[in-house]
Amino acid sequence: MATRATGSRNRYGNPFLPYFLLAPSLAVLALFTFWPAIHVGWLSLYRNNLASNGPHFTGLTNFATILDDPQFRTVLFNTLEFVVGTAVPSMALGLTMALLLNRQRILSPLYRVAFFYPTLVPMVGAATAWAFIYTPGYGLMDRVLHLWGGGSLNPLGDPKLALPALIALSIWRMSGYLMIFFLAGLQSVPTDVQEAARVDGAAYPTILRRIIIPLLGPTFVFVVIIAIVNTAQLVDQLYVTTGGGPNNATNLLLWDIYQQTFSFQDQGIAATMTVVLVGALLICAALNAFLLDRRTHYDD
Amino acid sequence: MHAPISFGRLSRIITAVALSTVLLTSSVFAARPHASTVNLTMYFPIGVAGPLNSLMTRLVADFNDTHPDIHVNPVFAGDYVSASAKAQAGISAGSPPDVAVLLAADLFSFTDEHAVLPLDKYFTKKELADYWPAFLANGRLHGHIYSIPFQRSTPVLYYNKAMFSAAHIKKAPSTWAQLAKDAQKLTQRDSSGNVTRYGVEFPSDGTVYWMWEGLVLETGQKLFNSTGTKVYFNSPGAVKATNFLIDLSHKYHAMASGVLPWGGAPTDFTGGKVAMIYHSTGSLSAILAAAKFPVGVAFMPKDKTYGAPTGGGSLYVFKGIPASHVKASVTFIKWMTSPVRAAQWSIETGYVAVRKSAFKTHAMKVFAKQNPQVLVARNQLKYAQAELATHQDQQIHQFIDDQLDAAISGQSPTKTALQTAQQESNQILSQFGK
Repeated sequence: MATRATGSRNRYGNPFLPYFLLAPSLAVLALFTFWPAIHVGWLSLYRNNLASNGPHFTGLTNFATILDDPQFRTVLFNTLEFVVGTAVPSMALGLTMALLLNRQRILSPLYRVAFFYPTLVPMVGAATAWAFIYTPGYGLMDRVLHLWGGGSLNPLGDPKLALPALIALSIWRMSGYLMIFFLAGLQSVPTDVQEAARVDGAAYPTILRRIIIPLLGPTFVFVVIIAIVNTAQLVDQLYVTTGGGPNNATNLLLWDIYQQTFSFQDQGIAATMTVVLVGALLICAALNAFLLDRRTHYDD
Repeated sequence: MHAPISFGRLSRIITAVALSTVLLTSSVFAARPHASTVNLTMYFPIGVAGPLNSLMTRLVADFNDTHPDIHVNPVFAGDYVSASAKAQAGISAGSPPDVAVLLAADLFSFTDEHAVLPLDKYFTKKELADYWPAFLANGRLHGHIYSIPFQRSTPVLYYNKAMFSAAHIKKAPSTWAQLAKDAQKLTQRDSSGNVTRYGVEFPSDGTVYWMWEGLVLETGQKLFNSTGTKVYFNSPGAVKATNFLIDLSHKYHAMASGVLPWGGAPTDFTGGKVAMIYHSTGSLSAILAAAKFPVGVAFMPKDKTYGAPTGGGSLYVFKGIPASHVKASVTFIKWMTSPVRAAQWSIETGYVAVRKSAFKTHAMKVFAKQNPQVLVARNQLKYAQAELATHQDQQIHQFIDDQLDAAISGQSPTKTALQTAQQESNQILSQFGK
């Protein structure tokens, strides 16, 4: 590090100055992030729904209730499938597109815009367009299938196909976004090392595996967490397409929380589910930070 | 130094200043509501743009102009769920809205929260008798009426008259058996056997319970009890209704299989992809505007009897507002649902006019002459019943929707699916059963 504070006093003189300067953002964080998180944990200990006539303390009963509920298990499993099914291919696609477009060619900027553009379309608009693609009979997908002699599909109405159909939509939207981070990361991979390797006779796959990907470590740490958090929060598409159906085939945790709160008015269960979601995301972030981050090579 | 002012001149100046002050202040105050004006907040479930919004804005402005002592502020609160959520938030914070248009079927959710006032004592028997009983039904609980019908609908059968005459079918089917037969006849396939046109479509995503309730009623089976503590999802009638739906796809091959989107049905119909659809009367204006063929509207065909649910939003008044606000709210509700306004709302939106006398207004008579379809919906109201309404209705709706999806998409057998929905519902409703 270039500068290091000596003793208890930093070079600004007042030891409290950094805390003072951080106080405003800490206050905002406390008010809008930490306090709601604590409060929701507190609410999860109460039975509070339309039948309860006000909140009643029930300890961990809500947690037992949701763990016992087959629908909640379906929702958890869907969410896991959706997050992994979206995040992993999106990262792979994002990295591939970034590697292809990192080299300066005449059309590179055009392709970058083309790949990034799905991110700019609001999710509701994108989902509406995809709902049309999936429309049975005359939707784009059925038209194409028909040209090749295939039959008619109703992906959003079929419990087996609905979630994969939404995952496809989310990958389309997410990969361009992740590409941007990989592109930025690639800018900082030094070209001299790559050239040296090439002079030594290393083929591109070797350079990719031994040099580029290890040097992209910090980018991966960031992208993994961004991809997980973002996909876990994607529910707009449900609002315009399946509403969580058919028969909960596309019901995701955040959507379920929304329904428990605003449709079923079960504040206790909603709070409990929120604790599960926030807890899971925190664990992901922590694992990511401790496992991946430690093995990552930072070159500055 | 000033020139001395004579008394006469001074008094003239004072008078002028005083007069202009009076004039100025009075003109300022005239622009504002009267000092004793009651300010009402009304939540209305619609986004900030669109034709319903502008119509509501016009109606409220009319009301405010003709009622100097009441001023209604409409709040456009998104869809029904967000409007309900906003009302709930207001209730918890101790500042409920005065009036709101919310789902008629959500009654128990509001009474369980002690959030709404009974309204029957503000209406005469004669006034209440003028609202269609099928629409009032969702407001009735324990001998009181908690909501006044406002934007209400009911499902009907739309059919393509051109396709019917091409297939030599003289009139719309009136029974399930006839519907299945006609739908088979109207289904067309290309040389390789792919269906190019289906006979009928019964959309089944989202809130499929709604129109499905109509089928159940047609078997002579009720779906729930009047106190909202019991549902009859696993009754023989419910099983029969569900199997009928499945048979349309898998036995008669006259309907696309799987869960079909609600929003796509009108487009399929006006685009000539299907000869008949079950849909809400609320879609009538849009279908008439888009269809390039004569559109027929008929009752939902009967099994043992005709039957249909009602749906849509009613006007509620909230607890915890001052007596003057309650009185003003009732005045507003009576005005909004007066025969002339009910007719206007129906003509401009496609909802069914909520009271009988609306059909005797000049505007409605003229409109019905051009669009006789609106009278079909009215006539069907005789057989219509309350929408599935129970305690915790949103969750009960979800249970039955999920299981109907499971049955329709072939995930589970009808009986198993309905039995599951019944058990899940029993579990919730047992908390309320008294």
